[in-house]
Parts: sequence; C-alpha cells; structure tokens
Amino acid sequence: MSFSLRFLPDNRSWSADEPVDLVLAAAGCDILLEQPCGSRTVCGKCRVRVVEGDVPAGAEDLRLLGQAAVAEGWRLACRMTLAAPATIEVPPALRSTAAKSFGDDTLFTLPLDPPVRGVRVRIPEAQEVAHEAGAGPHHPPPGALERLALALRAAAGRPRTNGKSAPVQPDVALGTLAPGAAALRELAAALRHGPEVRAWLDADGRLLAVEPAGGETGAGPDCGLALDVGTTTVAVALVELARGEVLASASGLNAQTPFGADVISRIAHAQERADGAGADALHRALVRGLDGLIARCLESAAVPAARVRALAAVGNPTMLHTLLGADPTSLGQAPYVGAWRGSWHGLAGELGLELPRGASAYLAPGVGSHVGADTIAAIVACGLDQAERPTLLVDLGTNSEVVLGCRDFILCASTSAGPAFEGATIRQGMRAAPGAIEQVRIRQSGSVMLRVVGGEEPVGLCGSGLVDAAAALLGAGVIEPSGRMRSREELEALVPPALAQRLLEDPEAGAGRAFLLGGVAGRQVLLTAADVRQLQLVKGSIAAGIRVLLARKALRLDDVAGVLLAGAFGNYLRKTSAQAIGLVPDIDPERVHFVGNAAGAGARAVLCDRGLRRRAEEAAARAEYVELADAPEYPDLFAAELAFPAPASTG
Amino acid sequence: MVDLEQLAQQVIGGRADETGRLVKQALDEGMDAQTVLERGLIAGMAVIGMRFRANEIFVPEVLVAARAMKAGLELLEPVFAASGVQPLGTVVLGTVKGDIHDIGKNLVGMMLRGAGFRVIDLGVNVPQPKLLEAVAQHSPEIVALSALLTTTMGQMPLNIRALRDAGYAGKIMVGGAPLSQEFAEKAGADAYGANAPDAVEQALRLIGAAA
Repeated sequence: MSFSLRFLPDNRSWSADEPVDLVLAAAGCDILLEQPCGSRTVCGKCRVRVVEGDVPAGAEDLRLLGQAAVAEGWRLACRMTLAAPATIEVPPALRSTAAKSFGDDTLFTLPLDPPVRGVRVRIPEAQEVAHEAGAGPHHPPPGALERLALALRAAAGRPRTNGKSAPVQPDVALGTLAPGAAALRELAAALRHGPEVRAWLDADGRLLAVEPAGGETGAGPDCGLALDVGTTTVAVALVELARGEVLASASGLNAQTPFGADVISRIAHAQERADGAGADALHRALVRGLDGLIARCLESAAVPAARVRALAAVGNPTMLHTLLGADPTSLGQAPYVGAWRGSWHGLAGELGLELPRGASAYLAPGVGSHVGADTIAAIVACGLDQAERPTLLVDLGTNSEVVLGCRDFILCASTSAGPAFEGATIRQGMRAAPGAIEQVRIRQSGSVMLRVVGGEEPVGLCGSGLVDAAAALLGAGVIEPSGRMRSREELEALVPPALAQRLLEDPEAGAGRAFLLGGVAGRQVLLTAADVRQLQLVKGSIAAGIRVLLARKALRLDDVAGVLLAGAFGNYLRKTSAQAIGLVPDIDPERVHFVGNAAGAGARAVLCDRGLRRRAEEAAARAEYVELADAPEYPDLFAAELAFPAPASTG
Repeated sequence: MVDLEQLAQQVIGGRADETGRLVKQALDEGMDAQTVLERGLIAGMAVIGMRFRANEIFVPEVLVAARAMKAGLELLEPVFAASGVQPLGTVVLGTVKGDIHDIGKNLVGMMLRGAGFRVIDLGVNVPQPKLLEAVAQHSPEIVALSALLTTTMGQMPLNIRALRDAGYAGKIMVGGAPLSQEFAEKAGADAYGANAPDAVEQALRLIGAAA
C-alpha cells in the first residue's frame, strides 16, 4: 500500500510503496540529512522531529536523545524506517554546508596551456585532398572526418592566422581524432552549414566537438569545470580556460551523505550489494548533486552549458571511484587498493553529467590507499613538488593527510584522524553554521569570551572553536598537558573563581567533568573531558604521522622550510591555538601558513594548464605512500603525541 | 611487610621499577603470590580502568600502568608455574582480516596481560584459517576480535560462525570503534568491550572471576 511522507519546513513529499529509510526518502526530495557518525548511532546528531504519524522510539533514541526529547517527538533519523504516513521536521542545522574556495590568482603564470583547444578550419572538398588521403581514382573519396584531420594537420604547421583561434599543437593534429559519437553527429550537422567549422581537440588529439564556424557557442571563450569532490562537501568552479579565471563557484553537501559521513561508511554501502546497486546509488547521488552545483555556476555566470569544453575532478579514491560509477569495495579492506590509481582521461558524457557529451573529462591521479587526487592537487597548488627545502603539508579534513615533500621526494600518509573537526565525535560538535562557537578566549580575570558564527546564542562548537577552546583551557590551567581536566577543587586553588565555577563535576553521570563554555540555561554548551580526549586522538595521529614522515627522511623539524595548513576548516583556525595544542608542530609561527582549500586550487590548476597537469602526473608517479599502521614506531609515537605541549609561561 | 596498597599505587603511577621491587620484596617476605596479584597489581589496574572511563586518564597513562603491571607479573609467573597455579585464562586476540588497526587491540592485550591473562596476540589482518589454527593450538578460554572499520566489522559474524562450526566452545568477545552492544549480540558474540578497561572487565566476567 502506498503512503506519503512529508518533510517540513520545505513541505516536500515522498511517496513509497514499501518501508523506506527516512534519510533516503528525504534525499529523494533533495533534502540531505547529515549523519555525522555515519549512522552508527553514536553521535545522536541526526535528530529530526516527528510532527505527525506514529513512529515508536527505540532504545537508541532514548539512549542518545533522552526521555524528554523523545516525548517531544525527536528521533534519530539514521534509525528510522517508515512504513506509514508521517510528517517530519528537519532542523536547519542538519543541512548546513561549508563554502570552499578555488585558490587565488597567484596560482598561475600566464599564458596557460589549456588541455582543450578550439580551432577554426575549413574542411576541404573531397577532390581537393583525394591524393593526400591516399584515395586513388578507383577509391571512394575521403569522408569529412578524414578531410578535417588533414586540414587540422595543415593548420598545425601554420602560424596563427586568426586572432580568435589558437594554433593547434603539432602533436594534437597528428592523432586519429578518435571522435565519440557526439562529435561525429556534430560534424555531420555542421556540414549542412558549409565547410567552415570550429573544432575542439584535447591534448591527445581527440576530436571532442564540432560546430559551424558561425555557431553561437564558439563566440564566447571556452570554459571548464573544476570539481573538488570532498567526502563531506562538494565544490564546483566554472573557469575560463584560457585565463584560468573563476567565473562562478558553488558548493554544497555531498549528496552521498545519506549513505554515511565518512569514506568507510560509503564503501560499506557499496559493499553490501553484490550486484553493484550500492555503488550505483552512490554514483547517481553524487552526479545529481554535481549537476545541481554546475547548473548554479552556469546560471550565475550566464554561460551556456554547451561552452563547457573540459572538466577536471579531484577527490579521494573513493570519491573518484563513485564519480565514475566504479565499485569502491576493494578500498575498504587492507591493503586498500582501488581499481586504478593513476589519472583517467575520458569524456564528460561517460560520467553521466548534464554537460556536452564530448567535453573532455580528467580525473587527477592519486598516490595510493586513501591518499588521492585531492592530495596530489594540493601538492601541486602549493608548489610542494618544486620546493627547494622539505616542506610539510597538512590537509585537515574528515581524513587528514600529511605530506612531507620537496623537489627531491614526496612522502604521504593518511591519518585516521576521524571527523572530530566536523563535530561528529564531539558532544556538542557541529559545522561552522550559525550558533557555532568559533573562537574562545579566557581573560586574566577568568571571564570567557566567545565568538559565535552569526552572532547568535551558542548552540555548539565547530572545529576551530574546539581547537581554540582546548588551547584556552590548556593555557588557563583548566586542562593539564596530559589532557586531564582538573577538578573544581584543584581549580579553586589555581584560577580565578569565575573560571573555576565553570567546571562541572560529572554533569552527565559517568562521563567525567565538563567545562561550561556558554549558552543559556537548558541549552548550555559544554566542552567535556571526553571531547578533549577525542581532540587528543586527532592531534596525536597527525603529530605522530608528521614524526614518522620526518624520521623516514632523517629530518628534524628545524630542517623543514615550513608547515602549510590546508583544508576548508584550516582557514578559520588560529595559528597560535593550533600550535598551543600541538596540532601544528612547535616551529616559528612565521613558518606556518594557511593555504585554504588547496585541493580545489589544484583542481583548477590541472583543469587549465597542461604543464600543471604534467606536474600532477609527475608528483603522483614519484610520491611514496607511508602506511602509518605498518610503521613499527607509530604506536609509541602516537601514544607520546597524545599529550598537549606544556603551556608557555603566562605573560 | 610490603604494603599492597602502596604496590597498587606504583602500578597506577606506572612506575615499573618500583612495582618490580615491591613484588620481589613481598615474595621474599613470604607473601602469598595470589594475594600480591589480586590486592596489589589487579587492584591497581582496576583503579586505572575506573579512571580511564571517567576520562581522568588516557591511553598513555594506561600504557605505562600496564607496563608496570607487566614488570610485577613477570616476577609472579614463575611462582605460579612452580605451584601449579594457572593464569586466569588464555585469550587469543587479533584484528580481523582486511583491517590493520592495532592500537586499540594492543591496548586490550596489555591490559588483559595486566589483569593476569595469558594473551596470544595474532596481530592484525588475521585470516580465518590462522585464527582457527591458533584456537586449536592454544584452546583459549576467550577469543577476542577487533575491527576498526565498518567495512571489516562484517568479518566478526563470519569468524564467530567459523569458530563455532570448528567446535570452539569457549567465549568470544568483540570490540572496536564502529561496533556496539547490539552488533555484538547480533554477531553472536558473548561480550562487547567498549574500550580497553571495559574489555578486561568483560573478560573477567566471562570467565567468572569478577565479583
């Protein structure tokens, strides 16, 4: 029997014939619910409210949400399978997304060498080229494609004659053109308008698209799309190929989120179905989400989709597997090897995106295991591969990658840092959405200063707020370097009463102490002793990863030119706080640099320039992957790095 | 006479040398080895477990405490062996196939040893035949399996079924970040250890040694 589910406040409905998972029904209405813990029912953050309908509470609902919330209709979205009509309210905090940038304009040195070029040529008449095409008097005359190839070859040998069309590289025109069906269709259609055409070729000499010389889309500059496919956030930039300029960009929550928050839960979703239906669902969700972002970019820049000639995507191996529709199951089991590791070169039509089928598509190469094309893109964008002296790059995210590299070597490692910065493992953790505490300072007097996103009453703590809070409490002596939160009694002898009063002894019975950061009565924001432990795990795994990489090259921190902090979240981090808790090594702060979304910048780089694309290929070929779990020294380093640095003497 | 309370404090503080010295002194003074173990070493580790759960201490403190415990146990073991007293029980421990995470598993191993168990650690990425072989060889009271990934936790029910099919009648416990009590029950495990100290408690419960 068919029934309907209604979602508020959007007032969208979904009808089902059989019991359906709430998150998937919501996704069907384009309402993406975040599940920070990947529906493992540990975080309790995917709460939605049942406004109408009978949805019995389970043990997990009671455990994570509490009796009072359950009585008000709150339930865990991740546990909910519905078989009868219901109206569900989805709170806005569940749908926030972080913006991602695509790097600044210092990324390029012009002129660029775009991987796709448009050239205007005249297709010669059959009799003009019969002898060149190898056809004798008794052979049929060559087709338009063969004649186009001859014309392109001839054009390649000539200097540029027309201000608008760039010269074709000799190696380009010597290819067989290997057109896809779409390009052949376009060629046939163009012939009706006359012999003058504009043809687009990729770096391998493949014919991508053809249109009549006077055609509309050829009038504007060629564009491309840089895709930064993150596990949590997906970002798209529309770029003018010849200049590398970003015309528009958009980002949103990865539409795979209903299948889980991290790479491993996505893989698990694919793995569950032997018939490939899981991998297929991941692919369709991702492509649909990308299509939406692409449409937004095209619309805001007023660029017709037909002018998109190329796309380049970066992402971790699981994201690129699912972008291609490939089953990522093998990435979920040691030794974590995918179906391919290097770059992939094909056509946009093969990805199922709503773009010209003949647009060139490039997936940047990865390093291996879970270190993917996003890391390679970040390496190229930061110039790590050309650095004279060894430089550290830390890409903070759901999984944090650590790279030590220079022109002589590149070492990469993936730390299983986990989604603490996104808030999943933190009691009141959240994304940098309105109400999130993003900065914390403690004054000499013991008063606590908060900066909250949107200037609202605080409701939670985002990644930078978490780091800031821990740094401030460490500096004030509320937290010991071991990570232990001092007792109220100890604090009363040590810090101003205003501060000591904020220490709550075991507010949740059994979970230990907590520090009251702010918030109004009933909606207090606490940093718990357990939260501090989670932060230690992240910090410990990154710091130990750095030490393993340094040891592999027998280097010390003093030998390193600098530390680059990448990642969307990294930009909001305070350098002093990151160093105070040891997330960033203790070096001169002037050698620590925030580089923003380096993966996105790298995607734009490999989209626009063949030279940068070659650098990515070369970096991927020589990058070494260090499996931290196999490093014999890692467990001891990890245990040692769990502690925070001793705070500098106050002054 | 050695103050066993003070011995427990040495374990809690992670002072291996001092722990060893006090154990040796207690034995020299003719104290019963079982009493030294229970009221000194195990009492110390019990405090460690309690403090870990309350977030008072963390992995490094547990590690050093476990090392101190081990220093004491090494002196007690020959005494037990000579008097024919068996260790609490044998645990075969490992991380399942496809998974190479070992920090949590190692911690569990150390704390189990600390609590008096004999631990056969098979390491990480343990294929089923290797597990069955070890179980046949050591006849453990407990098999403890760890998985850190949602993609590998599916190995748990497979291993448990294989163990039972092979005739293993002892206890099986599981643990690791993505697991839950509910999952452990569904997989057919006898116990779920939420963290290292909890794993020790569960192990003691399984062999009926805990109060």
